[in-house]
Amino acid sequence: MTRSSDRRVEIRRDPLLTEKLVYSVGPQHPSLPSPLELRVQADGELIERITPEVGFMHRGVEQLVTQRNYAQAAGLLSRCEWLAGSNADWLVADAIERIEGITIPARAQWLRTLVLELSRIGNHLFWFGNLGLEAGAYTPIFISLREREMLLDLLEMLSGHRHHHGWIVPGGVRTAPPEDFSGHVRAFCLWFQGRLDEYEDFFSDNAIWINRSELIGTLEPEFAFEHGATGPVLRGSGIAHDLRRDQPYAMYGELDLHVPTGEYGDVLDRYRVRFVEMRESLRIIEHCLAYIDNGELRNAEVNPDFAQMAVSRGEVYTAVESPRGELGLTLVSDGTNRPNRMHLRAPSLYHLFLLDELCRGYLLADLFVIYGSLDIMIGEVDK
Amino acid sequence: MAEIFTPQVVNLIVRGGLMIFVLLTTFAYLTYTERRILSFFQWRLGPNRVGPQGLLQPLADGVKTALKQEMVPRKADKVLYFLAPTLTLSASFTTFALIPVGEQVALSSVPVAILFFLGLSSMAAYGLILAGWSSQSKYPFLGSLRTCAQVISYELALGLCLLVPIMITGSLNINDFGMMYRSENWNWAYLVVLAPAAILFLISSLAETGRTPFDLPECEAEIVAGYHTEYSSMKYAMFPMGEYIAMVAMSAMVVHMLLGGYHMNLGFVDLTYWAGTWTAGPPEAWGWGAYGDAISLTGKGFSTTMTFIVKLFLLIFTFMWIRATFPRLRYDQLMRFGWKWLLPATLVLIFATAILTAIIGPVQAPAVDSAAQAAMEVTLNARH
Repeated sequence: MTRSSDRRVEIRRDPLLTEKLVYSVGPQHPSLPSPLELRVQADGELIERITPEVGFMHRGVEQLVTQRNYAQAAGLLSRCEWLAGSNADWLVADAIERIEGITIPARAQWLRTLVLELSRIGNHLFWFGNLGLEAGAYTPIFISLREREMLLDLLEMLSGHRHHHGWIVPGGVRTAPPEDFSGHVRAFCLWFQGRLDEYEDFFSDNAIWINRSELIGTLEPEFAFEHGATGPVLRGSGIAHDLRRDQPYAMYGELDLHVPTGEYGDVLDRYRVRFVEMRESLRIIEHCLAYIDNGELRNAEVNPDFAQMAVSRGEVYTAVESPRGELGLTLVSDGTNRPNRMHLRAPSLYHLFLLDELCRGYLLADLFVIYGSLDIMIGEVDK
Repeated sequence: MAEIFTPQVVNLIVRGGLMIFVLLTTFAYLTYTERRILSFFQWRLGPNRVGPQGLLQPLADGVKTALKQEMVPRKADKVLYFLAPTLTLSASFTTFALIPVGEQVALSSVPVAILFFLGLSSMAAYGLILAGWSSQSKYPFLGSLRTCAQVISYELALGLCLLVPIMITGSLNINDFGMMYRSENWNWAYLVVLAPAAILFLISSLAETGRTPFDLPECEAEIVAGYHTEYSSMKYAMFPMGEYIAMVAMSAMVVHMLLGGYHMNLGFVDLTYWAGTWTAGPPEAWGWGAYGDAISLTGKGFSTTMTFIVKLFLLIFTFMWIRATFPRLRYDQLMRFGWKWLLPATLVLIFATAILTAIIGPVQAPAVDSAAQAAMEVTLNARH
C-alpha cells in the first residue's frame, strides 16, 4: 500500500538526479530545546525520511519509582512532564484512589480541575512561544512567557511551587487556596483574554505564518487514529476525541465542554485547535471559581502522610487529557508504600513517531514548524 | 615624499580612515541598538549591565569575540575559507566610498556610482557563498546554496528599483538622487513612482542583506547558523559586521532615493541648514595650513551629515521593527515572491516611470551647493 506521504515525495521530487544527503539534526541543535536526534534523509531540501533517535535524556524514571514511596513517585513522574506537572500528580492520586475506592470532596475536585486547566494554559503558552521561534519569529516567546510567569505565580500562591506542585494528593488537595485567590485568578483571566486577542492579531493572522503552516504537515485522521495520536494532534485532524468529555474525570462531567477540531490536519489546524483550547480553559477556570471557596479539602479517612501511605494490591490504568494528549498511567501495587510497577503512557512518544509521516515530501524548512506543531516533550518520550 | 602626500591625498586618506572608524563604531553600536530595541519590543530590558545603560556592551563583546579560540575545519578549503569573510566585509565597507553622507562629505563622486554599488553588493554575496562552500560541512553548504539563489534573484529587483530614480534624473550618480528634490523642475508627481520604488528596494534589500523575514541563509531553526556555522572568533564577527554595514548602506540608498538625501526640504520649509553654518571649517586657524583645509568638513557638511544620520536611523529602525514582528518565509516562498511578485512589480514601475518622465520631463539635479563646491575645488586644485 502506498501512503499519501510517499506519493507526495514522488510528486515533488526534483527530476534532476541529485545526491541524497543525510542530515543529522541534534542532539544539540538550536531548535531542539531538549536532546533528540533526527536523522533526516533529504533529496536537496525535500525530506524523504526521518528517523528519530531517542534516549538522550533517559533517566529510568519508571524503574526509579519502584524504589520510592508514592509521594516521591508522583514527584518523579511530574518531572517527565515539567510544563504541566500537575497532570502527573493527578494520575498518581487518581490511580491510588481507584484502587482504594476513596471518594474526593467536591471542593477538592473543583480545585483539581482548576489547577489542571491552569497548567494547560501554561503549557500551551510555552508551546506558542516555541513555535514562533521555530518559524523564525523572535517576539512570541518573550510575550508568551510574560503571561506564563503570571500564571506560575498563581500556581505558586496555591501550592508553594512553580513547576512541580505536588499539590494534588490522594483524597483531595494538599493546602487551602490563599485568601482572595479567586480574585487573582479572575484578574489573570481578564488580562489573558486581551493578550490572546493580541496574539491572534499579530501572529495568527500574519500572512507569512499562514503561508508557512497551511496544508503543511497534513495528518490524515485514519493514520492519526491508527498510530495512537491523541490530544490536539488528533483533534487537529478532525477527530473530536477529548478525555475530558469522553471519560469525564474530576469535575469535567459537570461542564459543558466544547471540543475544537481542525479540518485538514495541517500545522495551522493544530495551531488553531490549541488557541481555541486556551480560550476554553479560561471559560472552565472561571466556572470553577464559583465552587472553590467552601467545603472540605481532603477526605479525612485517607492517611494524611502521603509518604507513608500503603496501597492495597491491585492494578489500574488511568488517563488524563494532558495538554499534549492522553497521558496514561498503569499502576501495579503490592500492598506496600512503594509501587510495584508504573508505566507512563506518554503522548509525545506517539507523536514523535508521526514525524516521519508528517514530514515526508515537505521541505527541510518545514521540519521544525511541523515538529513545533506536535508539541513534543522529550522528558515524556525518554522518561 | 611631499609630492605624494598632497593635500588631496591627505584629504582622501583622512576621510577614508574616518569613514572606516565611523562604520566600525556604527556596527558596534548598531548591535547594541538592535538588541535594546528588540528587547523593548519583547517586554524585556536587553543588555544594560556593562557600563551605564549597557553602553559598553559592544566593547565587551568585541573583546570576547577577539579572544575566542579560532577553529578551522580540517577539511576546509583554506584559501577560500579565509577569503570569504574578508570579501564580504571589504565589499560592504567599499560601498560607503560611493555614498555621500552629507554635503561635501563623501569619499568620491563617481559618475557611475550605481553600477559600482550593485557590483559591490554582488561581491558581498560571493563572500557568503564561498563561506558555505569552503567549510565542507552540510549545514553551511545548504546555507550557501540558499544564499546563492536568494541573492541572485533579489539582486534583479534591487537593480530594477534603482532604475526608477536613474530614469528620472538621467544620472548614475547617487548624489543626484537626493539632489533631485531640490531641482527647479522637480515635480511632486514623481513620488507616485519613487515611493513604491523605494519600498520595493527596501524589501529586496532585506533579502539581499539576509535580514528577517528573509534570513534564510542563516536561519537558525533548520540549518544552525547557515553559511557561517563553521566560523569562529573574529572571522565569524566579520559576517555580522558586513551584514550590518550592508544594511546601513541599503538604508542610505533609500534615504537618497525617497527621503531627499542629506537635505531637509519639507516643501513649505527648507530645514537643510538648520544647524547653521558655524561649522564652516577652520581654514587657517588650526595652523595646519592647507592640510587643515583639506581635512575639515567644508561648508554645510556638519548639518547635512546630521540630517542624513537622522533619516538613516529612521530606516534602520524600520529594519529592526520588521525583525521584531515577522516570522521567516520558507525558501520556496521566498523565491516565488521574488520572481512572481517583486520582479513584475518593479517592471510595471519602470514602465510607469517611463510614461511619467515622458509627460513631465526629466529632473535636472542641481549641482551641490555651488559656492562650497567651488571653494573646495579651488582649495584642492591650488595645492595640488
